[in-house]
Amino acid sequence: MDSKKLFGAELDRRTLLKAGAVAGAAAFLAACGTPTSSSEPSASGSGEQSPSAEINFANWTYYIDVDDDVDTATAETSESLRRFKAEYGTTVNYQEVMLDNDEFFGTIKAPLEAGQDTGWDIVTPTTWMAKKIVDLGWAERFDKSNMPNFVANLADEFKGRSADPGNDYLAPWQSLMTGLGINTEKTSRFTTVAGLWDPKLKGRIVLLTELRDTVGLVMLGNGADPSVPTRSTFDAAITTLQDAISSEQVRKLSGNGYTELLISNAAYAAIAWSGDVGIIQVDKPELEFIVPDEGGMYATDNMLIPKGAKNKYTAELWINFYYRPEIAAIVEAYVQYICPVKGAAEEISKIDATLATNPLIFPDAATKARLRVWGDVSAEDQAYFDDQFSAVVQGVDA
Amino acid sequence: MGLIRRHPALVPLLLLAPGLTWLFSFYLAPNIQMFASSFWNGTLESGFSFSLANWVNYPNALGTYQVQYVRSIQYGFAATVLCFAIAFPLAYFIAFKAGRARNALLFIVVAPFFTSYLLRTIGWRTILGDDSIILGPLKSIGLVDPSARFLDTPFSVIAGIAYNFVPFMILPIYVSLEKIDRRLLEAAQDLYASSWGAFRRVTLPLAIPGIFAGSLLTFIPAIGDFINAELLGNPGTTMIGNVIQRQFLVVRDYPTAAALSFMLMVLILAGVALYARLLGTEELTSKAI
Repeated sequence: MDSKKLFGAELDRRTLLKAGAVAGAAAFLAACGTPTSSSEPSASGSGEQSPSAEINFANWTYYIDVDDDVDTATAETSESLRRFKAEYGTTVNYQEVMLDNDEFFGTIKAPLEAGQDTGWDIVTPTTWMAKKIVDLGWAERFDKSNMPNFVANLADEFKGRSADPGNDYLAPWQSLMTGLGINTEKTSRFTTVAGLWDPKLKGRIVLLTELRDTVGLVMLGNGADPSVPTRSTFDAAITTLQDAISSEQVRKLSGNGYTELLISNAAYAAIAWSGDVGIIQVDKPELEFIVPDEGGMYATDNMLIPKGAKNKYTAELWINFYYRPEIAAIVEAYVQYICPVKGAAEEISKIDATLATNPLIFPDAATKARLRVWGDVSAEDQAYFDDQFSAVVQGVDA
Repeated sequence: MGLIRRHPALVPLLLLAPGLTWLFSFYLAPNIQMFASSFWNGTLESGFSFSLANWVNYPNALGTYQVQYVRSIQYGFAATVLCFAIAFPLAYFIAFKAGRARNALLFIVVAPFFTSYLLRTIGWRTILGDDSIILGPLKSIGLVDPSARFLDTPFSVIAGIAYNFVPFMILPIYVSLEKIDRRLLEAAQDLYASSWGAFRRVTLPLAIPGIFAGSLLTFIPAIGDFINAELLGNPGTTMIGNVIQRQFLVVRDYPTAAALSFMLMVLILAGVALYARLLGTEELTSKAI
C-alpha cells in the first residue's frame, strides 16, 4: 500500500471504525434524549407544500456517506445531505442515535402513545420493529404523488412485503446480511455455523447481542428455519449458545462494538454484518465475510415517518431524493450494505467499478436464495424469546 | 421580611427549602414511583397494572439474578480493596511527603475526570489488549502464554472499576491525613513510639473517617456499575447494573427492573448500616486518642 493511499480515504475509514466503539457509546447516551434542535412547523399533509428549513433524521451509526477526515455526517459533511440542501434548501439534522431497535422504540413510544410529535421526521427501524410501529398506527402514510422516484426505483423484492403490502409506510434504506466474519490469517477458513464451535477458536469468537441475528444464525446452523421460529427450535438454539458461553468458547457478546474485537485480533471469528466486514476489509483484507452453507440472515432497515411528524412533506422529498440512483450510489459507495434502489449498481460503477460487482453490496441470486428473514411470532412468543435471549446475554442459566 | 421577623423559626425552613425540594423531586418521588412499579405486571404493549399480589416480582427477580447480585458485591469489594491498596500510600505520600508538589499531585489525581467516563473505560481496552503494551512484550519474550489475556475477564472488569473510582478513595483519605496535627506524631515519638508504632497508633486511627468515607464512595457506585462489565467483560461477568439496564431499556420489563433496583438499594443501605456500626468512626477515633 503506497503512502498516499495510507493517508487517504482508506486510513480515515479505519480510524472511523476504531472510533466506532466510542461513537456507539456516545450515541447510546444521545439515544436517551430526543433531538434538541427546534424546527419550525411547516406544511404537512394537505395545505401549502414547500420544503421546511430542517428535517430531523434518526439513523444508525456509519449508515450514510461522510467526507474524509470527518466522523459525523451533517448537512455540511455528507455529499448526499449537501446535495439535498443545495436543491431544496433543507438542512437535514442527521443524528446517529439508533443503536438498538428496542431501545430506540422506548424513546419514541411515549409521545406516539400520547399523540404527540416525537421530534423526528424520519426514523429507520428494522422491518420487524417498523411493522410493529405501522400496526400500532404510529406511522404516517406516504403521499406517493410527492415520491415518483420511490415508486419507480424501489427494488422488486420490497414490493408487497407483509409489513407494508401497499408500500405506503416504509421506504427501505439499506438491507444487510448477517453471516460469519472470519480472520483467515488467524484461523483456517470455514463455511458453516458449526465452525464457530471448533475448540481451536476457544475464547476467540464474538457474537452479536441482537436476538434475530445471533439466534437466527445459530438456528440455521442447527438445521432449523428462522423464518418460522418456534419455541422448540428457539430453545435448541439457546442451548447451543449457553453451551458455547459456559465453555468459554465465546469471548464476548457485543453490539456494534464487535468490530473492534475483529480489528484488534481479540476475536478471530464473529457473527457479523456484511457492511461492517466490507469496511474493515479495506485495511484488513484477511477478514472475509461468508454466508454460511446453512444460510444467512437478512434484514432491512426502513425509513418511516412517525405519526405527527412536523415536516412530513419534506421527509417525503428526502425519501424521493434518496431513491434517485445517483444519490443512492453515493451513500452505497460509503456504507457498503445492500441497496434497495434500482439503477444504483450502474451509478456506483461511475464512482468505483469494483463496488458494482462487490458481492457484499450486490449479492447474486444464489446467495440471496440462502438468506432468511426472521419470522413474525405472537407477542407471547416474542416476550418468551426476549427473556430467554436476555438470559444468555446476561450469563444466566434460564 | 415582616413575616420572617415575626416568625424567626421559619428561617431554617426557608433555607432548607431548595434542598428539600430537590430531594423530594429527584430522590423521593422517583423512588416511590419505582417502588410502585415493582408491583406492576403486564407488558409495555398491553399496559401495566398495579397489584400487591405482584410482590412475587421480588422473589422471582432475586431467584433469577442472585448470581449477579453476589458477583456485584464480590467485584465491588475487590475493587474497593484494590482502591484502598493504591490510595492509602498515595494519599499518605501526598499529605506528608509531597511538599510543594502537593497541589500538582492532587490535580493529577483528579485530572482523569476531565475526560468522559466512557472514554476512559474504552481506553483500557487498548491498554489491556491481547497484544498491548503490557501483554505484547511479555508474550514476545515467552513469559506468558500467547493465548493469555486480560480483556473480557473478571480481572479487567475489577481493574476497570478500581481505576474509575480510585480518586474517590484517595481524596477523603488525603483530607483526613492532611488535617492530622503533626504535634501528635512528635508527642508519640517523645513517648518512645517507633515510627511504625506512631503510624499504627496515631496516623491510622485518625485516618479511619477518611477510609470509611472513601470505601463507601467507592463501594456503593461500584456495586451498581454497568459500564465496566459491559465494555471490559463477558457474559460471565454480568453485574446487577447490567441486568437492570437491560431489563429497563431492552427487555422493557419495568416491574422486574424496578424490583431489582429496589433490592439493590436496600442491600446497599443495610450493608452501609452494618459497616457504620462495625467501624463506628467516632467511637474508634476517640478510643485511639
